[in-house]
Order: sequence, then C-alpha cells, then structure tokens
Amino acid sequence: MKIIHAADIHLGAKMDSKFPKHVYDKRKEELRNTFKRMVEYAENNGINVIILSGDVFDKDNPYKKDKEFFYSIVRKNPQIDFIYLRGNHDIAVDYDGDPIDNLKVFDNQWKSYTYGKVVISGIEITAENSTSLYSSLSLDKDTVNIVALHGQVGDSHGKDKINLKKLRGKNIDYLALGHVHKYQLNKLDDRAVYCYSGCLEGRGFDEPEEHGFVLLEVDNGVSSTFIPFAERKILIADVDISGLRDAYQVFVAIKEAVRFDKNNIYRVNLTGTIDFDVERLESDVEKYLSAECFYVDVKDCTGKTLDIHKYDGDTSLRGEFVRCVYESPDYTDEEKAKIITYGLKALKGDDIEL
Amino acid sequence: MKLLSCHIENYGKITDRDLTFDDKITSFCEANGYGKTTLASFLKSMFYGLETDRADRAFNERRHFYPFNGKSFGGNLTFSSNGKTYKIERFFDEKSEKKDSLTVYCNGKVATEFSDGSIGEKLFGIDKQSFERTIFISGTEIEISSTGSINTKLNNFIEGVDDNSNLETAVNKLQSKSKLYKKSKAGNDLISTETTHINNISQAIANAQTIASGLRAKYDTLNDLNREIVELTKTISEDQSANVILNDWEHLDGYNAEIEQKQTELKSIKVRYPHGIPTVSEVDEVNSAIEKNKTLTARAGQKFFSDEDAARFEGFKKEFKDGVPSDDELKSVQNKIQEYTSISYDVEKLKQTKSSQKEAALKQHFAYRIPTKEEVAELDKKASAYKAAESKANAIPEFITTTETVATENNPTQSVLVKILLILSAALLVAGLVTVFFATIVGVVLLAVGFVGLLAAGFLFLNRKASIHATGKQQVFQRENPQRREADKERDGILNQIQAFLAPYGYSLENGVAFAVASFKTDVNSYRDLQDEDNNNKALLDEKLRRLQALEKQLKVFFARYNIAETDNYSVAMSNLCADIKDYISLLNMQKTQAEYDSGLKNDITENNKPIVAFCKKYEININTISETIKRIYKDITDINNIETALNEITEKVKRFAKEKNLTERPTGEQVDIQALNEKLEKLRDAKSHLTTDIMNDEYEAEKLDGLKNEYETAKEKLEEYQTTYKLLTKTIDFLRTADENLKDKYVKPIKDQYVYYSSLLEKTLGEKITMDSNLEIRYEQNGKERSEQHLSSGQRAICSLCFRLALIDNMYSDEKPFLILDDPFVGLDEEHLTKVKVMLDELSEKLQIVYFCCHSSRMISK
Repeated sequence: MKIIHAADIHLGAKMDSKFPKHVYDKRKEELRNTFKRMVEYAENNGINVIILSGDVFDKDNPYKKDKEFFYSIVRKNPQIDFIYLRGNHDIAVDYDGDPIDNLKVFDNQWKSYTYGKVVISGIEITAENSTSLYSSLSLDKDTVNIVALHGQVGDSHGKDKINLKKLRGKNIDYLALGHVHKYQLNKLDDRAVYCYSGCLEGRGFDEPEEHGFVLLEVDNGVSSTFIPFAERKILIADVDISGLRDAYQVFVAIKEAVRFDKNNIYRVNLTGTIDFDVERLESDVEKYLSAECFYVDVKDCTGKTLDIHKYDGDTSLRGEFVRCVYESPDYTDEEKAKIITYGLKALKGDDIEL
Repeated sequence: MKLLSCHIENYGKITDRDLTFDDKITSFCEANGYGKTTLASFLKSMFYGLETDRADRAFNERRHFYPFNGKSFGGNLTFSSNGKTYKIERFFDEKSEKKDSLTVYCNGKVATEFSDGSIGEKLFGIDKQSFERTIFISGTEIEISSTGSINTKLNNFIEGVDDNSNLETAVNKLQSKSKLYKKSKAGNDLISTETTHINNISQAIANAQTIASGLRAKYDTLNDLNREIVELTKTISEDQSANVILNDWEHLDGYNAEIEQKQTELKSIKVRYPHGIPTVSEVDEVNSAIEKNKTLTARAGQKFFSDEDAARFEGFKKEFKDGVPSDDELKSVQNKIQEYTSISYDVEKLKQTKSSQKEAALKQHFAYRIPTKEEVAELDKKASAYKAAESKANAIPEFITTTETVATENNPTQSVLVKILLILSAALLVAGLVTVFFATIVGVVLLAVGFVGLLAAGFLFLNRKASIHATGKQQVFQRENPQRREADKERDGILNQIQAFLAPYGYSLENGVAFAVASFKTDVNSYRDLQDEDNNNKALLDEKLRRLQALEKQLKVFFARYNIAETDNYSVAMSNLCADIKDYISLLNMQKTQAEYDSGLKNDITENNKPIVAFCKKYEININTISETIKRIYKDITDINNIETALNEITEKVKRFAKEKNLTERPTGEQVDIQALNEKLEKLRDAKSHLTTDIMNDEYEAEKLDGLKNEYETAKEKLEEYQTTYKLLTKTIDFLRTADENLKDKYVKPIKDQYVYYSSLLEKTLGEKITMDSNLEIRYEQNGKERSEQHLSSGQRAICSLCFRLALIDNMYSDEKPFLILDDPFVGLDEEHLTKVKVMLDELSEKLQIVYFCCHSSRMISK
C-alpha cells in the first residue's frame, strides 16, 4: 500500500514581501497548483491515502475560495482518502458542507482509520490534551501503525509541542508530522521514525531548498521516500565581491559562483568589503541577473571601506570636505560614506547616482 | 610680468599713439582730458576685451571709447611673462564683441592658446571683475571685497594645487539633486509623491481590513443560510412525501369511483335484453345474412339482355332467317371482293394513263404528219452533203494577201546640216582659191579646211542615204478570194434545202445542221414507239372490263340474300355483314344467360332469410327493423365487453396500486402547500447566491491586503530611503560649506597679515584692531565698535583699497607678480599720506611694475 504524507500546505498564505507583485501572485497560484498536482500524482500512481499533517490552511478563518478549492479536490477524488489533521494555523477550520465520504478528520481525541493491517491514528493537540494524549494512545503491535501529529518535536509538553520520549515504545511505525516546513527524518525508537514532510512550496527566502512530500510504502513495515515536488526551488547564495568596483564585475563574480536555473528563485548575498563609493549594486546586478532565473533578489551585505589617509595631504576643498565629514560624530560610517561620495562627485562635476 | 609697450590706433580720444613702459614705474601726469582713464581702459581691454554694447546698459566701455573719428578701434600691447614676449593685437567692432579681431603673438609667433579671447583669465587666473579689484585700481573702483574668481585663485594658492573645484557648482548640483527628493513646496518630488502613495496604500489597507474583518460575519451568515436551506429542503422533502401519500389515496378513490360508474353503465345495457344477450356469433350470422340480403336484392335488378338488345335481336333473326353463312362461304366471297377491287384499280389506272411532256412534244412535232423513212434518209444525205460543203468552204481562204516596201526619211536636221556643211565647204574652197593668190598659207589652209568640210559633207550624205535605205516600211494589201465565194454558195444552197424540210415539223437550225437533223431523226423513232404502246394498252383494258362485270354480278347476288343494300363498295358490305353475324351470335348468348341468372337469384334470397327469421323469433325482435336493431346489438355487445374489460383492469390496478403504495390505512391531515416552501427556499438560495458573490468580491479585495501591506512596507522603506538620501544630500551641502569656510579661514589670515603690513606702512590706525571675515570684508574697531571700511574717509579707503589689493596680489601670485595699474586713486590723500604712498610704491616697484596715472604734479610718482 502506498500513502502520501504531506503537511503545511498553507493555502491562502502570503508570500515573501520581497517578491514583486507578479512573482508574488504567481507563487500564490503555484502553491495551490502544487497541491493539485500532488493529488494527481496520487491518482496516477495508485495511491489511495493522503495524510495531511496539519496546516492545510494558513488561517483558522480561510477564504471561502480556498476552502472550496481544497474540498472540491477532495470531492473530485473519491478513490483517495484524505486524512486531514488540523494544525495550529487551521485548528478552528470546520467543514460545513455536504458530507464527503473520503474526507477523514481528527479531533482532540485519538481517532483511527484502518486499511487492512494499516492503522492511521491521529489527534489534534490542544492545551487540554497536550499531556494526556500520550497515555491515551494504544496501538496494536501486530498492525502497521502510522500516527499523525502536528507540532514541534521536543522533550516537553504543551500546545503545539510533541514529546518524542513519550511516543517511544508505543508500537508506532511511522510518525507523520507537520509544523516544520523543512523535510526531516529521524529515528523515534527501534521500530519507528518520525518525519516532517515539510511544506509543498517555499513561500519566501526563509523557506529555501527542496520541498515536497513523503511517499510511504507500507508492507510489513513502513519505508519512506522524500519526493521533491515544488514548482521551483528557492536558493540562497553568498558571494564575496571584495575589491570589485562595479555591478558588471559583481555580476560576473556571481555567475562564476552560482549555477542558475531559469526555473528557480535566488537570493544572492553580496559579502566582503568594497570601496565606499561603489553604488547601486543591488538593483543593477538584479537587472543583469534577471534573465538567468525566475526571480533574483540581491542583498548587499558588504562592508564599505574608506581610506581617510588618502586625503591627509589634500589641502583643497575636497580634502577639507572629506576630513569634515569623517570627523563628524553625528553620522554612521555608512552615512559618512554616502555623504563623502555625494560631495566628491558634486565637486568633480559627476552625476550623483542615487 | 612686465608691460613693454603699446600702440593705440584709435581708442576714445587717443589716436595713433605709441607708449613704452618702464620696468618699475611708468607715470602719466597729465591734465584732465588727456586720456589717462582712456589709456587705462585700453590696457585693460587688451587683456579682457570689451563687452558688447547693449542698449539696456547705461554705461558701456565699447560705446564710451568708440573713437570719435570712427576709424579702426583698438591697437596692440607688448608685454613679457615668464621669459617670453607677447604681443596682443586687438581691434573692436562698434557694437558686438563677436566682430572683434584678436591676434596674440608669443616670441613673434601666433599663440593659439589665446584665440578664444580669454587672455586675462589665462595670464592672471582671474576674471575681469577680479582684475578690476586687484591689478587695476581706479579712483572710483575701490571695492574692498573678494570675488569667486579671487577666492579660487587664493584657494589654489593656499592649497598649492590647481583644481577647478567650484563650491557653488557642486552645491547647485547637490541642491538640484535634493530637490528631486524634496522641494521647498511639497509637490512633485519623490518624498511628497511617496508620502501620498503611502497614504493611499494606508487607505486601501484600511478598506481591505474592513472588508476582511467583515468576512467572518458573512461566513456565519452563509453558514446560517446553508443550515436554513438544508432544513427547509428537508421539510419540503418530508412534506412532499406526505403529499405524495395523500395524492395516492386520492388516486385510489378515483379508481373506485370509476369502477362504480362502469358497473352502472353495464347494468343499464343489460336491462335491454330480457332473453339474454345474443352471442357475437349469432349476431355475426344474422348480420352476415342481412348484408348478403342487401347484395342479393341489389342483384335482382341486374339486366344482362336489355330491351334494346331484344329489338336488335329480332332484327337479326329476320336477316338470318335462312341461317348464318358458313365460314368457307364468307372466305370465298372475300376473295372475290379482293379480285374485284384489284381489277377495278388496274382498269382505273389504264384509263387514267396520261402522255408525258416529251410525248406531248413529240405528238406536237408530228401532228403535221409522220415523215417517211425515205424522207428521213434523204435528209440524212443532205446533212452529210452540207458538212462536206462546209469543210470545203472552210478550207479555202477568204482573202488573198500581198506585201510592198515604202521608203521614209527619219532625220531632217541631219539633211540640213549636210547642206550647210556643203555650202560652207564650198565657200571655203572658193575663198581658199581666191586667197591662195594673195596669202598662200591662208589660202591653202582655207582650201584644206574647205576640202575637209567637203569630204565630211560627202560622208554625211552617203551615210544618210544608207540609213534611209535601211529603215524602209513593209505594207500588206488583201483581196476577196473568188474560190471561196463559190464554195460558200454551194454550202448555203444545201442549208436552205434542209431548213425547208425541217421547218414544218418545228425544228430550227440555230444549234447547227447536224444537231437539228440528229434531233429530228431521234424524235421520229420515239414517236413511232409511242404509237405502238398505245395500241397494246387498249387491248388489255378491254379484257379487264369483261372480268370486272362478271365478278360484280356474283357479289350482288350474294349480298342481296342478306338484305345488304346495293353498293359498289363490296368490302364495306362484307364488313357490315360480318359485324351483323357477330352481334347476332352475342345477343343469342345474352338472352340465355339472363334467364339462368333470374332463376338462381330467387332461390338464394329464400335460403338467406332463414337465420334472420329464427333470430328475430328467439329474441322477439321485429324483423322489419332488424337492420337497425342489429347495429345497436353490436354496439351493446362491444360496450359490455369494453366495460367489463375496463372493470377488470381498474380492479386489478387498484389492487396493485394499494399494494405498491402500501395504502392500508388512510392518513389524517391535508396537503401542504409545497410551492410556498419552494418559494421560500428559492429566496434563501438567492440570498446565498448574492452572499456568495459578495464574499467572493470581499475575498478578492481582502486578498489584496497582503500585497498592500507588502507594498506599504516597501513604500515606507522607499520613503525612509528618500528621506535619508535627502538628509544626506542636505548634509553634504552643509559639509561642503563648512569645508569652504574652513579653507577661507586658512587663506584670510595671510591676506590679513599682508594687509596689516601694507597699511602699517601708510596709516597705522588702519593696521590695528582690524578683522577680516571669510569673504575678506574688512572691519575696524573704533571707539569700541566694529565698523566697516565704508565709514572711512575717501583717502583712507583709497589706502585701504591699495593695501588690500597688494595683499591679494601677494597671496594670489607666488611666482610671477603681475603689473599694477593705478588710475589716479589717491586724489583724496593728504600730503603726508601721499608721501608715504609714494615711498611705498617706490619700494614696491622693485618687485612689481606699476603704471600710474594722475592729473596733478603733486600726486606724481616717479622712480
């Protein structure tokens, strides 16, 4: 038997505020579409059970259209059982439409769904049951037991917390978790592993790398495989641009350091130290890189250097100006660098690029 | 730098004047009107040119110094600088500096670096205004202040560098940039625009938040509506079910009422049959007999042998009283009729045989008489004789022909020429003969010429004779041949005889004798053959007429036996007879058939009425109305059957329906008005639909919230960035100004020091408690108060001005000092101060060339 374990779909969630509008909208659309694709994957691969370990919706009061989207997909795929455990984001979401036979839900008491010798159990963790849920869990050692929970694993109790110690030796074969958005697989005890499937799509630069779901193959035990399934990856790279003088040099350095994929989203952190008067790096480099990938965000994290001693012997207005600025206690080094840049360019008669 | 000499071509009142300058002091002490200021202006104009004369300016040097004589305006100036000798040649237009001409020579060669006219700026490093405030000192222009140009020059001097940094340009650039971010009046600048943008976003966010916060209530309302719809749908469904059961009972009641009605109908029919209801077979039998009766009765009137047939039959019986002729007899008569018809045709054909056109012509030719064979033979002979006579005549020529030659002269001119030549020759000979006695040679020549002419005339004469003989004409003469005349006469005699013979028969000789005779002979033979044929036809006609009479007699006897009217057309008579025979036999058969038919029909009717009589008797029915009664019986039987079948079906249906609908006990209660409930449901659905649309629209707006918040954050960041940039730009300007102040502070001190030094040489009070600000403005402390130099006397101010300028020059020019032009600046000095000035200038002239102008000997300075 094959089962999909997914979590943290976060339908209706907002995307990274750094994304420009067209990327923002596109990613929202892709988030929905990837869930739909996952269900199609299940249909095409003979998978009859999808475990959703919490946070299908981004909020307790989701938009009607997001609810309709989710429930219509469930309704249109009656051959697949959707075992839906609500998480901290969607704990209050209730379904008030016509009954859907293939939608299996949980509440604050342990509940199980049996498929032959496979038993899928789950409970929605609340403050009230966060301590008692461990003692009330009873699983047959002769069945294959999959347990769905939503929360942060650790050694303590509480709302949205999962005490792993208390789940050891409970005849669990696979602990299907949700809450952490990055895929994780670790041993629970001699029999079981616990696994965060991660979210289906990264929503911003705080959710980089691969995303997807976990495919479980259940026989006498459970074997799991992470299936990367996101529409596109979000990747972050640091590039040292010390000593470079202009955006094109930086662009070349980035191209050498990062292998771009047109489908992916990148954050490039510029590191190292550069001269104080190298300006407009971020926007110019972003323009150069725009054709290389779906979207790129360049962040200037460099330190700026200003060699004040260069102007020691300069008795002109220029030298006097630099000294005046440098000695001023009222401005940060970054501000001083900008003031000096503006002033020197103005004195030289150059255009001041802002 | 030293001025060496100058030549003034025309400048103001000065014309064509050459001047040389001393290395140290060159003094011009002349009375007013000499042109000292003009000369000073000339020197200045050589370095800085003259401004274009503009009408809006009250005073203009170009206009003021334009030469009175209107001639060439300008001159040249020679000076040395850094070991080189320069010469400036400059001439001015009356109005525009654009039309001025300038040439600068350096060591005798044209120096192109000054071609743009900026000689003063390049040599002294200051503009014209600065020149007037430093190097050039007049009695009226004693400003003690700096200029941007002087500052820069001073600045560079202090710095020891030569950059073109210009504070004001830089500040302008920065200000212009900062105005993009913020203008003095909020409006079309980045900070204002972005602030407005943020306000707009804030409003949009507030709207979206209001919409989003209202969604919860709308979702609740939608849920309530959904619940209401579900409940109402359930109620409607239950009420519909109850209504259906009540409807079923009503349906059942309807069935039972129908059964009752059918039973009543059945009873009302059966009451009409006290002796039982006839069976269908009984009724069918009677009905069949009735129907057959109708057919038989209809057949009773049917006649195969009409009265007309009977009358005709009687007529035929008389015609054939002796019996009908046999077929053989009829065949024999038929053959005779055919033979009669055939012979009649032949006779008619023979009678109607007509002569053809050719036969008619033959008969016309020989109506006169038929020629005998001998006559024809005689004609044939004459025709042969004619042919022979004609041949003979044709063989003899009609005329006898003779030919004679006739001479003709064809060139009369030649004849005349011969004669003239002959006369001339003769004359020459005579003349020769006469002359030979007087002049032998001439006589011999004349004789010779006369002789030659004679010979020529003789030659021409002979030649002409031969020509005439050679061109003589041949003429032909004809005469009638008598032999031919005889032959023609003979031929024509034979022709007349032939014509006389043929004329009575209508033959002409126009196509020739042979043709006429041949035609005649052919026609004679044809006419004879025609006469033989006519005789044969007459004999045949007589024979056929005899056979025709015999046949006619036999046929008339035959037809008279059957009263067939006498006729020539026996075929028609035969045809009529045959038709009569056929009709007679047919009528005979018809008469027999009619008799048999009438007898059979009578028996059939009697037999057919038997079951009808029995049926009427059994059911007491009037036999006379049986036809109508039987129809009603039929209908009743059908109605009874239909009613009974319907009753069975309905009864069965009732049972089934009750079982199917489980109608065991009639429920209490009445029908519910489902339509009202459905209307209510429809309203709820409408409300849900509207609310759903509303929610969709709200969600669409609420969904913008995240984007708006992002946009708000971005806009805020942008605004902060703009504000920071503006602040930094503004601060950059402040820093530049501070730096400039700092620099000025640095170069003011040495100027002030020099100023104090110079003024201490002239006037002690001017050198004490003096302050000089960064703009080089000088202030003095008097009676405990700071005062500007404007409060000094004119003499003191002149000293001040001189000292200030000398201090400036000292600071501005470290290497090569320029010259100093003093245009009578010390008018207001008393003698004591003037003496000091003279001493100072004398000392100063050791390191600085001085050109000094004054108008009074008391102010004269000289080395």
